[in-house]
Amino acid sequence: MAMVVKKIKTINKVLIIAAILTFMLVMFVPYFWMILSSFKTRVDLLSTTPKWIFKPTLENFPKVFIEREFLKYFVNSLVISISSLMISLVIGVPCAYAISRFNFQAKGHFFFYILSTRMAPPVAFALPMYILFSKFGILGTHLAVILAHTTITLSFIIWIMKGFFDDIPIELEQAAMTDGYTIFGAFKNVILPIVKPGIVATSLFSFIFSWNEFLFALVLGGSFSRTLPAAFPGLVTPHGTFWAQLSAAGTVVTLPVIILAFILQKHLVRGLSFGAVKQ
Amino acid sequence: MKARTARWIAPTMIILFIVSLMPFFIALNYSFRDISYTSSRSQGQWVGLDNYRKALSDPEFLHSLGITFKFLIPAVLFELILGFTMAMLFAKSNFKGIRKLIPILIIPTIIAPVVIGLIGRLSLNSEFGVIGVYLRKFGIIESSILGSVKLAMPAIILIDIWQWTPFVTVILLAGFLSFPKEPFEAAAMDGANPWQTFKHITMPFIAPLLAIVTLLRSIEAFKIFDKVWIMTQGGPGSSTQTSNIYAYRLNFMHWKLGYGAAIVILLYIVSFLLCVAFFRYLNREQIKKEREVIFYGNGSKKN
Repeated sequence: MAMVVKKIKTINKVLIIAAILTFMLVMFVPYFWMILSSFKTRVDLLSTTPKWIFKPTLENFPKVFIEREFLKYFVNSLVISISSLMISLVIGVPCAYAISRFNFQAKGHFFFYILSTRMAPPVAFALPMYILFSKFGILGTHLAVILAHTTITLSFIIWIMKGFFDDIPIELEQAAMTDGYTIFGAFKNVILPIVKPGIVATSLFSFIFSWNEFLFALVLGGSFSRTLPAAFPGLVTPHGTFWAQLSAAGTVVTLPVIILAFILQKHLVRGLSFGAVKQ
Repeated sequence: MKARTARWIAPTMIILFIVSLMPFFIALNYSFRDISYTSSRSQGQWVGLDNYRKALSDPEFLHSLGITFKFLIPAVLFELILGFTMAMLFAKSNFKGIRKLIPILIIPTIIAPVVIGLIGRLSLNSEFGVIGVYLRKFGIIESSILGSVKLAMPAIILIDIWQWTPFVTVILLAGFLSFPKEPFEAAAMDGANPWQTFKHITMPFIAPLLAIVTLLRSIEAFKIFDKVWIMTQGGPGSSTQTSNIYAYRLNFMHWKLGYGAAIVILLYIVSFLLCVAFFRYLNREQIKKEREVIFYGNGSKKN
């Protein structure tokens, strides 16, 4: 009897592991397929029997990044993501602290309003922003895309950072203030060093969101400020789709994000759930 | 509001005024006017609620709303079922290095949706795609998937499931791994069968997380644009034209700004309601947790 139970348990365990491996494989293979495609020649890529083994080529990368100027878009993406991150960080972190620590009128409504800016479909904001930014005369500039991306990064930073501040006992500031610090002094010298890992994680997440964004960059950016994702539709032309070059661009645009995912390991759950789930 | 608080939050308020409040009121203002860049008669005359009346009886808009939910409901449902099952299996496997697998597992969720769309087209292509070719060989499909009125939407749903199931899995797995052991041990001692344990212990524990994941997924699925734009642009015909795609076409291809603004405001209202549900739910959970802290006398650390 005990033997049978043990056997059932082993079979169960094997089945579970098989299911997990299959799942991981299904999740990974389509992505891997794109990476492979980026190293294929046109002939290999369009082969009617999918090729897993082939003679790899590097030709697609210079083609798309130099000839089609994706290098420029890569730099634009970097500039825009980092700028919108920096703006959001400098103004968002103090705001998150205030929401965590101070009581003020309509605080709940304010906090909710910040969330709602993130949750609305980008299409809903793209039109009025287009009108507004054309009135400001900044349509098509980097600034237009940076400002649009702050709707994403700022609300994210405030929501997540408020959670990190909530986790710190208020006695810390009280002690610091009896030692003669002002509120700002306590915030700067006592609290910020404690939440530094949180700030780093939150920043990396915001960077990813801005880096991946498509619609605002497409509508509000011009040829001069185009980001990598917004440049993708340009490779689908009436003369055909440049599959290998698209794959090469896809490989390069996703690589930094995957590296960041490994760095962010511990914070993935908190970041992806908008701070609703703390691990 | 005290001057002290104002100094901390004023910069945020200024930026949000520019990027959120002003755009909202511009859209609201436009939605009551007849404005179009492509018609010389539409010079911005005030038309009151006409645009809204038109929207609510516009078959194309209503059709696009239908398409949105035809996408949203099966996609979110399958993601929840599959993600829940996988999270439970991950937790059951008792494999120590499980957290190390998460960054690989999460790849589809975390990379740019534009690339997800590209991968969808690349693998579903019936001429050379790694999935499409085999589907055709086994006679499941005859020609192009994304070019078919019947199959394009299921294909987008499939790709969405691929993209977001890891998200559901990872969030729920965090919940499963943080379960206290005692209730399960007690249930085992009392001779509860697996189904009873699942129903009376596992479910109540995971329910709040499930609710959060469902809301977050619904909000996000309602926003879908990038993937569809890359995969089908709303076609063939209007078979995958979600309301976001419709709004984009109206505003940025037909330049019917007044009518488009009314559509945009209606979309904003739907997402606002979803957002209210999420916020209310979080607050309720927060209050419950604080009560528990007081109840167990673990001391309250917050002001």
